[in-house]
Amino acid sequence: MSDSDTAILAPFGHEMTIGGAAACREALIDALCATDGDLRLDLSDVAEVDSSAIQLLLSARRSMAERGAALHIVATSPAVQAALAVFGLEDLLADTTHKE
Amino acid sequence: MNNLDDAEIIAAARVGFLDEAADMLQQFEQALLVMESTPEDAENLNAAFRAAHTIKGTAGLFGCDAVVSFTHEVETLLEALRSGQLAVTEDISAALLEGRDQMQALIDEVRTGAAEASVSQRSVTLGEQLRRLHGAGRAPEPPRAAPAASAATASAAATAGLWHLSLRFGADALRNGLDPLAFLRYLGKLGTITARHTFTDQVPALAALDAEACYLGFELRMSSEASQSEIEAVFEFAADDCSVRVLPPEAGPKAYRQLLAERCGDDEDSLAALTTIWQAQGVDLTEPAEPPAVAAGAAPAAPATRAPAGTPERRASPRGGEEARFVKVRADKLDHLIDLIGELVIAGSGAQMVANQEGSSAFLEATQRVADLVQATRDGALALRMVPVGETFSRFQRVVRDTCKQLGKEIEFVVTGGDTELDKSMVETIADPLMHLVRNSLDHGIEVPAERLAAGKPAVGRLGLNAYHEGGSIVIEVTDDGRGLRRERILAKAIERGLIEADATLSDAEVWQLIFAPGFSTADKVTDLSGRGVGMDVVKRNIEALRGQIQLSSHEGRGTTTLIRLPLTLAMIDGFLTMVGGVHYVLPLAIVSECIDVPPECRADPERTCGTFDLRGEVLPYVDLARFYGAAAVPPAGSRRSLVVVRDGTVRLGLVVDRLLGEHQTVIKPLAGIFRHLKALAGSTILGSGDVALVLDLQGLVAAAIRPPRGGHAHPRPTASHHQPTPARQA
Repeated sequence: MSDSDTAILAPFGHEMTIGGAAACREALIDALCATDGDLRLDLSDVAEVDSSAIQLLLSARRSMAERGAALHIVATSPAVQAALAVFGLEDLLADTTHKE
Repeated sequence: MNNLDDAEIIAAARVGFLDEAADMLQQFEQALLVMESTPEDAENLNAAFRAAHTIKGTAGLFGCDAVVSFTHEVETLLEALRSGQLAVTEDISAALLEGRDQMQALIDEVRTGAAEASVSQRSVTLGEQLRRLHGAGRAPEPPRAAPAASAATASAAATAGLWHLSLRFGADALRNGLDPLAFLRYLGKLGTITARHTFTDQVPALAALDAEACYLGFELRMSSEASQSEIEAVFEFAADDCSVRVLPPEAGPKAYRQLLAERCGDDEDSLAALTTIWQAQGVDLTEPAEPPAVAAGAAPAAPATRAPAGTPERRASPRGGEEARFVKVRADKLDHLIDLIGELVIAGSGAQMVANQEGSSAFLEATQRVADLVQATRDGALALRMVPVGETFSRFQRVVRDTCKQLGKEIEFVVTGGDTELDKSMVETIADPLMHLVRNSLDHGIEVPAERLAAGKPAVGRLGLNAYHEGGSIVIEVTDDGRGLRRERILAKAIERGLIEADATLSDAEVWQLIFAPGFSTADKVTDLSGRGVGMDVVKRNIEALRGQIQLSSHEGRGTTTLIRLPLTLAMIDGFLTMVGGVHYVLPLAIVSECIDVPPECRADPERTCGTFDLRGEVLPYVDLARFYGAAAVPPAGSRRSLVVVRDGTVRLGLVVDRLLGEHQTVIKPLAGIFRHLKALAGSTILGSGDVALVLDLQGLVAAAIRPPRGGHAHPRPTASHHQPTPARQA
């Protein structure tokens, strides 16, 4: 896949919590439909996360994997990193950064 | 959620707080009393501390500042005891007990909304006393007490082990505001999470994702010094939305395999997956002593653990189990249920009667089945109201302690049969009469040590409370080994008061009964505790109001035993239905021992209400119920009647009835006030046909028909015409 097939998305603002989780899912699905390549996410602005955010990331990764593509988190914030560390899911980051 | 709802919720929660506080105070007092006898019991001190702490905590939630600030003083002193800074002394335990009473007073103020100056003043003075005790003992004590305590805490710290937590969050967890992330972060404060695995395989692809549902599960290893209850308390509010299993460091492979079975059932893939995860986390699943089939691996382990898979859930989590064992129900809901079941019983017997009239065997069979179920339901519902009587007994421990201190007596308080169950409403009603009896024994019965030694008895007196079931009733015994009742003195007093004739000859039992006469007291001096002459008659009235009986026996110099016999429940009985003069009468089935033809002695003089007859060589009194109740239609002398032999405790009695109608489940409805003067009736009930039946009260019957109200005859006399009870005219 060439770089032109990937989209960089940073739609989440400061909060990725349950309140906006449904909207966030819509945004991710839209992004998914807009490209047939990898999905790149920029989470550097996200200052607050809860478990729903982590689930969305996991879900997005699964969706991408199902179509043979990958989810790349190109940038993260301390909040996201901390949450992933609590769950022991640093591979969400490690995986993507390695592929970069 | 609007304001009204909030107010309602707070009001309901406040009731809960007051209930809980009452429980906690009870536990607190219990712990303090144990502390007096075994001050070194650390777990007991912890229990006392926890109780006080819980009261303080919940009182704080409800803004009961007076309770909080005073309880804080109590707690501070307890903390000093717990940590070993202070040793338990008599002063301290007395002050703590007073503190408990003050907490009670403050909580009562919360309940009633009153605010008395004297109560708050007492808070201040007691608070100062507690602080003084805290400060005073501190300087000289530590050398002795402190090292032991620090050693204890050190050993506790050394036990920091590797806990295993298995968490599965429910789909609604996030929606209910329970964020797994927050739980895991909080756990991090209790210890160090050394290994973690997050189950992500349940999270679907975006298209199928419910963004607000929770799909996560965790397997965690945590090194922590916290106790199991502290760890489980983290998930206290998440019980509905999160399945939590905490395995302590000492949990063996067996516990893990139970958990494995619980989490995976017999799905071999997930069994294998979870086993792999655990092994990666360092969980040891092998058990050397087990046969190889079990230890070999995940798949063979399944059949071995599957069988108990349904049960281990409760065993694995003691906390969850405890909560499942008790459900708090409002008493009025329970009463309503029992009322409904009462109606069901009546309706059921109505259906059975219709079935009888229809004569359809299929219908009869069906109603019989329903009747059986109704009976089982009734028993079950009544059992819900049953509580162990021991809780009431333990209340007296404090009374015994205080009395001992006050009167300089030494008394051992022995409770047996505390598990015996009794209807909750009765437990509350007998508490007062029992208190009276206990106080009587403490005050008048048991002597001071010097007097006891002089009488050749051990210095320490003994006060016993015992409860047991006996044929449909519960018996409560209050026993002391004190000076006993003095027959001569009671007789003299009774003659003086004109209760008996000066030349009357009375059996022992009759003499003891005199004690229950209103205003009767043989005590030479009136004390704080008892002896004012109000009491035993009130006790007797209270017991009789519960359809109970009270008996006393005593040996001078050796002690007194008071027996209280109470029916198990007031609401429903298995009855035996009879017909007398066109009216239905119900006898409690438990007291019926046999039914025979009316013996010739009773037929000899048809005008007689009561007399005696010969039952296989034994002379028993009998009562002709038709005459006793003044039935309008006395059956002609030639008609076939029956005699029911009933037994009540030690008394046996024959009752002449017109017809026997058999067993009948009876819901006892109390008689309205205007019928109260009627003798020997415990209540009424409604039959399936809609007719009213009267429930006989055997003790009343015995008392009214057999025993002369006063006088010296221990045996019933053949003619009781001088004492014709008031005839009851039935509606």
